[in-house]
Amino acid sequence: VSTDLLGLRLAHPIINASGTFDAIAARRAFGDALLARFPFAAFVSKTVTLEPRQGNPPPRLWELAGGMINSIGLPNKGLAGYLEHDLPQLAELPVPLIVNVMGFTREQVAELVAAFGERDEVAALELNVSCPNVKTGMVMGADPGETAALLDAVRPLTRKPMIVKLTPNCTSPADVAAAAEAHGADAVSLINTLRGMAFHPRRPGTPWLGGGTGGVSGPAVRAIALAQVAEVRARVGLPIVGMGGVASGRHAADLMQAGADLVAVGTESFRDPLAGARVAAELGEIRANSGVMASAPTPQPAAIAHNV
Amino acid sequence: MACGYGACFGCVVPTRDGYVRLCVDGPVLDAAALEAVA
Repeated sequence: VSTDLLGLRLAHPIINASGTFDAIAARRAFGDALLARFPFAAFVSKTVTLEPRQGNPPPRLWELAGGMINSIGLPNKGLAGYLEHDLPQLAELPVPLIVNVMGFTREQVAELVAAFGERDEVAALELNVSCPNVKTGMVMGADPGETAALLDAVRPLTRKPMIVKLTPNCTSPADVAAAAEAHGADAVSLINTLRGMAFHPRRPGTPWLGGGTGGVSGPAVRAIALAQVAEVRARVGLPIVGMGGVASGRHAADLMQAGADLVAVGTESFRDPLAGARVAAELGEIRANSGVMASAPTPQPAAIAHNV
Repeated sequence: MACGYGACFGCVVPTRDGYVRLCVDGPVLDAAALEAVA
């Protein structure tokens, strides 16, 4: 079932969540066969920042009963390194490339957007706004005013589609989504990870993660994602990329019924690098067997019925 | 280790040349390159 979104023709509605699938590492590990059967309809790159980042000190992961906490810290080669080393390899992928960017000031985000905006290899941009603006101290994506000001700064810089990645760590993601829509975003994606923490098993009271806290992902956050996607869908008409704990076609179908146009697979790809292809196939079967999924999304009642 | 193929950067260990991923840059590392472990 092909999907048209943001001017992109996609083979199916399943893409990856930023940072959870590394197409370059996967190609190295699995060979060129990966390109022939690439698991996602579009590839979203890890977050790129202006300057190179080493990432957070280890330990970086903590496993939960229903998922994990990560404190990776956005290691990346920086804009120049990405353009030189990563972009040429990612341009060889058989699917559109969406580049995820993050800055610590609006000016940094603007520089990244301008740089990628003129690259033909890049189909769309995703703005990671889950970090503090070092000038205002506000997390850009946690506040509608900050999000609006950011979009005012970067929207004029490119005609490429811009997706705003919403954080669940705020009072009202729907308010932020409405601000993003009013100030020129082309789509929103949600949810990012939920802030969480674990103590060292042998040093009570000492955080296990080198970064102190991290982001919770996996099956544990799926119910939260479903509720937030429905809440955002009730407020905005923009396309929505829904994600959070998706591990099956049923989970993807649920998010689409809540209002998502595309669904991203994240943590499940760590367990099974080809999870995206499996979820897409399962979703295709569900849609083929159900008249409900072929029509416009209907809100919660149907989604709730699946679990009765 | 979350992914095991170099994607998640969850298994990094500090070396004199920065963090390396134990899953793809290891599992055997040059001991002389490792930083002291507390």
